[in-house]
Amino acid sequence: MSHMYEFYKVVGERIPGYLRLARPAEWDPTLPASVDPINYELFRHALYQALDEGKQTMQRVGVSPVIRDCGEVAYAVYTAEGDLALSATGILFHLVGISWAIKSILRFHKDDILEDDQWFMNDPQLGGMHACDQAVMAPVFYAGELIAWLSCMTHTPEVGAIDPGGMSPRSAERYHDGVMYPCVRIVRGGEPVSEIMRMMALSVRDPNTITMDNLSKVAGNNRGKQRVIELAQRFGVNFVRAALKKLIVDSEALARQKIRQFEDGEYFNRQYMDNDTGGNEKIWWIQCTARKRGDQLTLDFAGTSPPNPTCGNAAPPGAVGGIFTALCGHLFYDIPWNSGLLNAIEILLPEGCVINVPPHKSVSNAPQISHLTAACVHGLLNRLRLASGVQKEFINAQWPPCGGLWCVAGSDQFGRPFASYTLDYMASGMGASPLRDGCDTGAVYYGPESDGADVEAWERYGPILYLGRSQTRDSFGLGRFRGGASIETVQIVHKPGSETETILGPLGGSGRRISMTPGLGGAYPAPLNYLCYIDGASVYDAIRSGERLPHRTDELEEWAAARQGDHIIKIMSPFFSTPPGRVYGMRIGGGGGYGDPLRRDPERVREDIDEELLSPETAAAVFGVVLGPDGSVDTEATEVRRQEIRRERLSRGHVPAERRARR
Amino acid sequence: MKALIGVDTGGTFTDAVVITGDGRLYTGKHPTTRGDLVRGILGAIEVAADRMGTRLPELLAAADVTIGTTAGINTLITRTGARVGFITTMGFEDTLLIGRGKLRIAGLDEEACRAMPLTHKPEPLVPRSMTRGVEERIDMFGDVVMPMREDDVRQAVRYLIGRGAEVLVISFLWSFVNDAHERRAAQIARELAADIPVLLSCEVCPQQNEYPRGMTCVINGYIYPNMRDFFGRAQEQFGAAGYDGRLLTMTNDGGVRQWNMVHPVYTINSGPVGGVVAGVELARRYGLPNVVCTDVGGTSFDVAVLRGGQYTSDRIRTDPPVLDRYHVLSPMIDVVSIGAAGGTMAWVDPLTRTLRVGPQSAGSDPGPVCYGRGGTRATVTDANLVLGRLNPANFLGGRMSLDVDAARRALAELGAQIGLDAIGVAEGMIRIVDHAMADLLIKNMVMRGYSPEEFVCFAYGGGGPAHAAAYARLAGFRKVVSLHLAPVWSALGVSAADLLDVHTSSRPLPWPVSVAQYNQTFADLRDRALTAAGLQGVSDGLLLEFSLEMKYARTEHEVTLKGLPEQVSDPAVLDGLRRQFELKYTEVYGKGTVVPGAPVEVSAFRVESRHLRGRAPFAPEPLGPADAGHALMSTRPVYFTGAWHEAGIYAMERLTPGNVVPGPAIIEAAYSTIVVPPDAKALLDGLGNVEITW
Repeated sequence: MSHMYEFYKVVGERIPGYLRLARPAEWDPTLPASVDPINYELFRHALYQALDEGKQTMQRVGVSPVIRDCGEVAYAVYTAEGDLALSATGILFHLVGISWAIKSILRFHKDDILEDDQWFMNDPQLGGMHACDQAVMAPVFYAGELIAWLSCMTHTPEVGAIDPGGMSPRSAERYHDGVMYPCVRIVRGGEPVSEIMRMMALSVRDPNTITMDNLSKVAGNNRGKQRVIELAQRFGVNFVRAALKKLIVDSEALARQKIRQFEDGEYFNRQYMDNDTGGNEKIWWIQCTARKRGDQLTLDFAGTSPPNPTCGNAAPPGAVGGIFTALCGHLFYDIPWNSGLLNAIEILLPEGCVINVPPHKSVSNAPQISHLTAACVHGLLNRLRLASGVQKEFINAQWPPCGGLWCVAGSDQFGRPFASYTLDYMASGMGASPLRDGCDTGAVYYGPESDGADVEAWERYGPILYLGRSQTRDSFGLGRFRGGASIETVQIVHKPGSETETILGPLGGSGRRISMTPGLGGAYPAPLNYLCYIDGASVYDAIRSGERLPHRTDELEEWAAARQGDHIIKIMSPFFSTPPGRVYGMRIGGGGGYGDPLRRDPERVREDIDEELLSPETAAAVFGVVLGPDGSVDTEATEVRRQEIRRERLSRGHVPAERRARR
Repeated sequence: MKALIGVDTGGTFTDAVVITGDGRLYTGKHPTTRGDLVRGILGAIEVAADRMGTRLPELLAAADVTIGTTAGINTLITRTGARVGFITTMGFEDTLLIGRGKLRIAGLDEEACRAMPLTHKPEPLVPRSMTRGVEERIDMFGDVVMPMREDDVRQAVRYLIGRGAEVLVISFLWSFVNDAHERRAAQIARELAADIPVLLSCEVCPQQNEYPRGMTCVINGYIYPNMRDFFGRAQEQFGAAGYDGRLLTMTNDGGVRQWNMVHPVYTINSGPVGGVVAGVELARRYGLPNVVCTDVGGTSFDVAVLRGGQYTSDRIRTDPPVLDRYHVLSPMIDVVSIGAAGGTMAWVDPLTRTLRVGPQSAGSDPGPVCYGRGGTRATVTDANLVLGRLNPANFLGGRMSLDVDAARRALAELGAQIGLDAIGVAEGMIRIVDHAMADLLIKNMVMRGYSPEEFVCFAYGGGGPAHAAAYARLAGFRKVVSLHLAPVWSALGVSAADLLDVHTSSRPLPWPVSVAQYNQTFADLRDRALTAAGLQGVSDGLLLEFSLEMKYARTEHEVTLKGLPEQVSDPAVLDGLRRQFELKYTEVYGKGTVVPGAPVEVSAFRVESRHLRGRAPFAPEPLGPADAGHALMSTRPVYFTGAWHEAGIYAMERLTPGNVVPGPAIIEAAYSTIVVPPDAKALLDGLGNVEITW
């Protein structure tokens, strides 16, 4: 395995017991300072427009729904040394990760980096989170000199892993995760390298998608390259080199200014998770101690659980993806996102923990682990703000770290190969703040432009029919301000091509036994995630006999029972064969709440009932709100009920023995 | 030939343009009469009639009147529309609330989107409690999976009426492929509620994607009673004033239609569209197929691209268009904007020592520092003033004087933070703004696969001419034209627009389709277009264009093939269309993006019917001598690229066609100032516009 470590050491400095992530290269400090302020502003704006143009080009050509509909595209420019300088991004996970992939090309191919070449990479130890995250990187030359790099990264659903969809619960080692390419040339002299493209296409179950996704990245890079070369003509090569570095230096300074606002001290958060992979009932956790001194923040993940025996792990780029998702989305939202942030934030990942696993381990379910890492850091930011009394408008309870997916594989409604899923979880609930409720069905952590796409777009995309897509009732953390409601879907496989059997598999099963979305300030955590499949009962039969259909997940159990179907909760079980018309459902917990639910304005509770977001039972039991026969709030009865609940709480509560002794 | 009258009701003034049968043009202006817009509209037309030496009834008796109005968008923005009841497929009642998640950031700018925890969805136009589901289901092939339960429809209608619905909107999944359920549901609803409008998505917006489709229909229902009311009253008052035709209205796609023949949501954004249509007309008159319209106002810089003598509605963004804060599916002239204009404010980031301009704007109140109305932060207008480009004594034709010293002080204060003086900051700001405008222009041309070299740039709006030469040159244009009719530009577009109608058959099909299917679909659409035109009194002179929207399977972004044959006999022709698709695809997305053999689908068949109306009277005058000495009023120092230049100051109204003004020069007109840089020259052309070349 030592050969593996040797290859991957570009990611960071290995110190006893730890990995410290690689910082940006050192440059002559006078270089960024030489940039004049007016030209810098002209350059910064033009560069951003160029990146946006490249990103949109790619989004329009790409096939994978995560690209075309959901905006999951990371498009960025790097210095000639491989440090991230500026990004136009629809996804925060991959912000700095690609930097290490570029540095590995620089290290291992330094005499062989040629103009008009582009490189492909999907190795999670170098960048991205798992094999599905695929990047195409392009060196930019001007007058024969390497001046920058561009990179497009997106998620492609089919990677030739042990099961379709690339995130199989059966994955137990690297070699189950799909075909991985550390860094290979897919464009040489401006033309696609046909033998490599063919090899990639023939290694996966859906050859067309990977080919078109790759071409979309090549197209995006071509567009961006043309623009960066024009900028070099307009501003001069030395200016471009210096200005890219100034972007990095500036971000570091702005980040340090923000960090300085927090009180010095040590802060701690631990994020629990379950990750069932068939009979595996353990609880894992990610924990982080934040040490803040002056304008430097250290995030030390010592104490984090050891690796999961199967796929619920992350490599350093995945971990850092999660960390930056929280930092960029919740703290550095107004600072250009680049490698400069890595100077202001020191990240220490213990060797061999669940977010820094050895290279031979499976990381196919890393997006969930990265999400949990993001949630852990988000929780820490809340602590820093609450303790320091600053940036109050940004305090908000955690968001659901991950949702479940059903992957459908076989052939689509026109008989073409198909292996993919719908991304409804993009519309998850967001956390409540001390000022207002969380946004309902709004976003996921990593996606500033989260987009769950239309049902009709998904039904045209694959052999799928929805019976319902709804905001889930009672799905949020209950509090004085409630979390945002999340989404639920009920679907069937519908009219698949006849030649191939259709198989179905659940992806991502965390959050079924424990809530991973705690509340803040005395609020409830968000409810659990849920995936289920009904065997033996066909929707088509039900329709033929004139019955109603199930539209929401809470109707499924009853629906199954009435038709002698088996109501099966499938969490992280392997793929299984399914005939068309069998119902499967998914729902995810929403955002965490803020504050004691007994302090919620009873009128707001009534409105939530009216808007079908809250059941009257929960309103009575948790919020203590009593409604009169006309549906309006009975103020007196509510007050009485709330007093009762407070008394019940007192009677339930107890002081732990050691505290009692101290009294 | 009838006179064409176009009216644009703005916030302050209502403008009217009359184009007579023999091609002369008259204008009229009247203060907008809030509460009774029609009075101001008739007032503006009457002013024009006076100038023509005729009376209002005589003018109206032989005219076609087109009204562009902001009544619809105002209803939406002020949330004063109808109480809408929404009926949809059971299981999908939350569609408009979920808004696929992305509703959260609809209409927000980049910076606002990045501050994720602060983003929130807008208040719903239809609360969940006014939405009811009906058990029914049709799939993407149009096959009925679940028959409709008619009892559900009855219950839903009764429930929503009981809750005070004033309009019912019905939108079921895949109704644009099979409308049977929607039409039957409407029948039931009308039986139960005869006096309430029942609006169907298969009629209003027969296109894929249920959230923006539903939202389009809901906004349509929301403004429906107000718009009916407005046009009903207008029709009556115009009748009383002597007009016996049907009033026409401007649509979002740049055409006009009889007001009762168009769903109100498609007229909602007609304001900026009028200006673009006028641009198309003028481009035709110049014989220019390719033009970019640029409009510099007080707060934003707007760009629209016209190619082949037509505006483009090919969107370059990957999202559906946004109205207020909701996604919709409306054909719209794609006008893109950035916050870079006269009122845009500058600021310094002390930590990174950078000068930034915008996007915040001082607007017109307090406005720039030099207005002396309490503004304290330096704006682009202040920078233009300090650099000598604006005349402090002759701003807006002398109706306002500007405080140069105050502007200089504000600029010097900013400069002190980064080691620049007032002039250095002012020049920096102008360069930043000019470049930002040029970057936007370049991106919009190139992303559509066009090259600026093949285009001419039109500039209008109060601030356009001051920056046009700079941004057009930076963006790679060869020429920019500053337009003299700017103050009534939109009304001119409204009067000159063609009668336009689009009929679509949306149904996802693998390509190639059969010859029979191709011919039948286009024949049906042709019949629909002819029927609709007949209802608007058009029987001949109708131009039909047949087009297809195609895409690679599983991708989301269509390429439109235009100018297709209506009927084909040889299947080889249809195979050939695949090659045409690939060529167009390469043009838009670049070399190497075509995938040989990858499955292609057709998303929609489309017929556009166009009835050409009168043309705007841009009759060129012959060019006279080049010498512009008679219009030279004085000289003053003006700052260009690092040095002061003694620039000639010319009076626009004294220039005659053919006059050439050498740079550096400033041409002062009543509402705008044209800047001619040192190595450029300006020509007053035969149409009275100033052409700047370099």
